[in-house]
Amino acid sequence: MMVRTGIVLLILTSLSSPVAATRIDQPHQVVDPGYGAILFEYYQQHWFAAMSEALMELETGTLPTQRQQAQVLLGALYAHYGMPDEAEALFRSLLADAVDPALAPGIWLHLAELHYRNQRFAEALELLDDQIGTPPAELLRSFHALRTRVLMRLGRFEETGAALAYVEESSLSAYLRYNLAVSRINSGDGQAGTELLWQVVNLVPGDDETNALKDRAMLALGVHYLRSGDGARARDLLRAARLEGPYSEMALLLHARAWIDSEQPVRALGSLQALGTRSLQFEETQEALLSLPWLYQLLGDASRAAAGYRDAIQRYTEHYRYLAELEKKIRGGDWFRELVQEPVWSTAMDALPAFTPARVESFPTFRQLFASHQFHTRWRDYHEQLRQLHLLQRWQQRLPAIEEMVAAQIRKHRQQVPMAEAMLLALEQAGWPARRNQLEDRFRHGQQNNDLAMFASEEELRLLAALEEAETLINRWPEKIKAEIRERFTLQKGLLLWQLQENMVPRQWQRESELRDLSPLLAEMDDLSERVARAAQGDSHRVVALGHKLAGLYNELALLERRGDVLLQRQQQEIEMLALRQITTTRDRLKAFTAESWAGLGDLQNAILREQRGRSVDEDQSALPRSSE
Amino acid sequence: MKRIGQGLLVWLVLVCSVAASELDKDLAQFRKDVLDINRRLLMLEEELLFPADTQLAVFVSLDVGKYFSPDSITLKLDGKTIDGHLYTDREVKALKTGAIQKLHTTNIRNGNHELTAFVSGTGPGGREYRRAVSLQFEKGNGRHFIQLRMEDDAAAQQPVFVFRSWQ
Repeated sequence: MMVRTGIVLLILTSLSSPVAATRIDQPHQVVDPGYGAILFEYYQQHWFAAMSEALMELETGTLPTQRQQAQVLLGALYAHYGMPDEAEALFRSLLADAVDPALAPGIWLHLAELHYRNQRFAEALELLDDQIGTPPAELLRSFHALRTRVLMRLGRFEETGAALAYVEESSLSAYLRYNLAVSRINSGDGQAGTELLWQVVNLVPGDDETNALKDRAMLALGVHYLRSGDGARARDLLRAARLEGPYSEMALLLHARAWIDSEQPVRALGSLQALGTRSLQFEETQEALLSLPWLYQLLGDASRAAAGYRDAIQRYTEHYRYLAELEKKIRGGDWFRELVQEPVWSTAMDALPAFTPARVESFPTFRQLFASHQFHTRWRDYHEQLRQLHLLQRWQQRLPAIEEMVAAQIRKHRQQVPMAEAMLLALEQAGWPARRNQLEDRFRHGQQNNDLAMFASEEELRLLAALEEAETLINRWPEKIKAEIRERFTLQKGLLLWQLQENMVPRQWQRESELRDLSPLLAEMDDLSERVARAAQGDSHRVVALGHKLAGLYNELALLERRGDVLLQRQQQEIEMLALRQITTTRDRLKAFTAESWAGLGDLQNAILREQRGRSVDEDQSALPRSSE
Repeated sequence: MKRIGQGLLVWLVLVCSVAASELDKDLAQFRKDVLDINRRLLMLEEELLFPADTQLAVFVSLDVGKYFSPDSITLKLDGKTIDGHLYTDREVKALKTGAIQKLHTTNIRNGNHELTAFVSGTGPGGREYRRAVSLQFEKGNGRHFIQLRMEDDAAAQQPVFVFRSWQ
């Protein structure tokens, strides 16, 4: 059963998924790590996480070279995630903004896919042919897969065969071939359709999906042969059908029908009897219950035929009652609760777990519903929304921590900003740049006036001062100083001045370099003080903005959760409505089958009565004395 | 009577399909709103936890992965273990297809730092392969990004581990 569900879902989803048409399966050049991070989520099929990552990267500007690729990927994800309007708007804006020509075919392909999904087939084909024409190599498969589906919908089957050549040797091709074959047979081209179906039937047996698809193709072939009056081929084919798997009931029914069509009804008994023992929840069993007594009647076994009709009526009635109880259960919400059970707890940001309906008692009753695209879409949407609600709940739980973080930043801000401002004020008052300028002026002045004292060491300054003092004394009492001492003094002074003069250039250079070193230090200090000022001021805005952002989020989250709960209920009602609709259909069928059974039984009893009456008339006549005697 | 019944059925189908279409639109709008609030919350959280001035983000990429398939990575910053990651098959497949993993985000001070990555996995010939690779870098103002690139050296038929650092 699940395999059948899987097959149909796979056909419907993998063929119609826009992501399937644009998956970047091949290794390709990733330049921006931000784009690579989006792909990291995307390749793991974390669609919601990939979209969130893409939106963040696009907003923070971390995609300097691959911004448009990220937008195309985001659009494809929107389309896949049930947001077609968002996707279309994004693609159209990209095309309007002179998008990279290498990306344009992919975007047109996405748009064509959106048209296809909205059943605008002619527009989809027009985009494919006019805007893309010859697709680039990497889009070849996706392009032809979509074009084939569009052509099939438009009934242009001849053109689809050629397109299939591009998608050969892949699992997608097998599904496409099956769909194409059925479409061709329905449109009257039986020969081409059967050829394609045989290709699917002759696939090498593999996993459950492949085997189920082979079974399905075999049944489709059997039905075609039956309809075209080739009972022998239909029988041969259906004899090989498996007695297990999702299509076994249908195979049994068709097998019986093939024998009846071949006017060998006795050989149909086995299949119908086997089918009659199966659950009445299967449509095929319901049909078999009615066919079986009819067949007994045909074979002349009136008593078994009558018993069969009575058995059918009884079982139909029981099933009718069962459906009434089931309907009550559905309307009361119990059926849905049992079906959903306790879903695996995950948020929309996590990997998608398998959400299969629980194997409740009524499971076989709805196996066709469960295999339908409509149910699958609603079921998937329901669970995805549950995951989104879980995400909102998680954020609700994390908000207090975020609030605490914001509060901590505000506290820190309140402590540090006054300190920073005081420091900046002290720096300003110290006037370091002005003091440095004064020093430079003094240096230039000393340099221009050859001021030896300015460049002397401490010791030399002391000596210079001593010499000047001695010279003053000598000049005050010249007559008391001996010429010898005066000469020695002159010599010492000359030596000191010579020493100072001789090293003047390196001394000046040293001072100059010291002054020069001050400049970067002061510049660094300027930079630091500017950063502190900016941080003090900027942080105020940031902290205020954080507070504002947070204030609104509580309400928004609560409102979204409420909206989500309502939507969840609406989805549940939609699913229940689908189930109720199927119950109505089944009930109508059961009514018709019961009526036919009663009619069959009536006819049978009439026939028996007629026969009995005929026999008694014959007996009476035979009992009468013959006139000749 | 039968006609009335048929009319009712058509009406019911029409009503249901209109309701379903409205539901789809409401769902799409809800998804858009959830995506929007999720993005805002993620950005707010990142802004609070990793302010731009102190943020260091470490990325990991694998090109082409013929000679190496990672099992785990341990990151050490200035001698302290800051993160460890065990790879799933899906993650390795994603990396081999060109994706880049944002492995770790943290806060560091401006100045000189050393980042070391200990990588283990399956090397050439299916043998177990371990390698440590280090990077000395200077953190300046603004965000700092480091990418550990695990590349194939076709000539040596060995994997090569290279760091790329930018701001």
